[in-house]
Amino acid sequence: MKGSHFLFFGLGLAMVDILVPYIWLADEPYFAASFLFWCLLTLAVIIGAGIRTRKWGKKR
Amino acid sequence: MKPLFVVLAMLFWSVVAVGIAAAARRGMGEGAAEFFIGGRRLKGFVSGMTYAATTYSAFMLVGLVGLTYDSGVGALGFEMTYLIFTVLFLLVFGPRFWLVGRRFRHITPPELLGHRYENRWVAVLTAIISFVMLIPYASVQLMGAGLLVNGLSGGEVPFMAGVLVMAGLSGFCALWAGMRSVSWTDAFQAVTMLVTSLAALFYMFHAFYGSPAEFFVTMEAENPDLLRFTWEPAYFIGLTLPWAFFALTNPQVSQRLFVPDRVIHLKRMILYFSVFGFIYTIISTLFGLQAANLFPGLDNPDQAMPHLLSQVPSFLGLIIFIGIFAAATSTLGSIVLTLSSLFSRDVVKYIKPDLSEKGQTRVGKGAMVCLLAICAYFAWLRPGLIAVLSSMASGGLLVMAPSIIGAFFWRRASAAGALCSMLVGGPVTAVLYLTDYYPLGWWPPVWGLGLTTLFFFGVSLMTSPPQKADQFISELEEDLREEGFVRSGRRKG
Repeated sequence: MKGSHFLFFGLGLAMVDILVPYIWLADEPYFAASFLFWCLLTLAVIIGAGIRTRKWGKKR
Repeated sequence: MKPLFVVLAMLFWSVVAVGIAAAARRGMGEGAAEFFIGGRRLKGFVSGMTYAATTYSAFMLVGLVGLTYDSGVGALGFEMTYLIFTVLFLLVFGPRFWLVGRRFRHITPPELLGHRYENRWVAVLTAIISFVMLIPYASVQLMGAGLLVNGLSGGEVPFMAGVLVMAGLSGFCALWAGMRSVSWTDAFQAVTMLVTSLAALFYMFHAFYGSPAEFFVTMEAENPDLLRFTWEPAYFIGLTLPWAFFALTNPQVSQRLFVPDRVIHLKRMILYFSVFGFIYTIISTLFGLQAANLFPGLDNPDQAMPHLLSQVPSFLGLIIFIGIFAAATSTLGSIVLTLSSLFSRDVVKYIKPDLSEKGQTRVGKGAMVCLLAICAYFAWLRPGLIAVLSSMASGGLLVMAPSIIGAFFWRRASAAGALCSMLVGGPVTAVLYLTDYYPLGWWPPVWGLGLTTLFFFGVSLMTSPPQKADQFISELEEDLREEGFVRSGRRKG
């Protein structure tokens, strides 16, 4: 990953991680709100990591 | 719970851990790399579990449970944000640390920085910052064990008994065969942590609510405020920011990026750790919510978990106690091992460059004993709330982040930039923490990171980069393509 790509992806992820719960979910008193959001976001990142690392080690 | 049971559980666990540590010594070779990073020969499962056990400490089942008990779902957000960024940093920096470590035979992260910036003072300074910040963090592990033992036995077993048993056990594991014994016991401890906490959680669902579904319904009906995200933005960012960079700035975890045997094991390490962290975080926060529903109004939130344990059958309570004890022991052992390697390789070897490999190991072992004594003394002092103290450690280490990121990505990054940024950011962060001063309401790490980044870029642009900086990054990019970490068609990694 290029440095700039990494920076923008990280910043975008941070924005989603912070702003979505504050703007849309903060006042919802349910597990299906902030709790579920953070679980799903983390799971998506882990699955993304699994996909991203699939080709690691396949030498040129 | 009967004090005798608590003492017997600690003894039982100690015997098992000592047995594993002793077995790990078989097949161990000679030399500093063998002792401090297991000869770079660890497989995926052990690598992943030692990374997890080092990262997830007594803080999870004591501090995080207390934080959730006190302030609800925000604690989950804080911990999941940490995990998200750890996975991201592992994907980007894991291969870089691993490749550079192999190519140049680095054993400690400060050594890598000293080499990249062609300046030994960068290594010495990062080692010193690590010492100053990680000793309180290691002490927190001892405090966690002490609080737990004391709380679980109803005050019958003294706080310091838990502290001393844990210090002795982690000391033995680290001294016996270095990274090999630490990582083997870590792997066993990580599995113990996960299995015991999962078993306890489900027991509590059924014992107190009838089923997990009923627990969720009860929480939404009786404690809706805990499911609302009520944290102030400055609090959330201030607490989360240092943890988000944990994978990069904490040498006890970044050093583990040197240990996997092959690429496949590095890949497995990242994935096993991620899954472990995801499950363990959910378990810990659910414990906090359960405690808040069952025992509202505790004066000290950190007592939520010991309270919860006192309500389950003794056998189950002891199993979870062992899980927490294991978590704290493994984190402490890893920190002490890493700090001892920093002392040996980055401080003593700087003063005495001809120090032999055997001498480095000996110095490291001596440092371990001293470090454990200092940590036990710190734990005896018992400063404030666990979460805040742990966060302070990561907040201080955060000042190394720009230098670490710049080392791999910015050819203009210079030694002067790295040194100035840490020399300014470190003291500013520490003073803000110690004086409890939060300018404009923002936490010290926010100011520390901002200042550090500013100085790093400003001074680097005004000074010359190291002669071989360009070559360092170009060779790394070539290695990244060669090993399949990035697509071949692309110019940069």
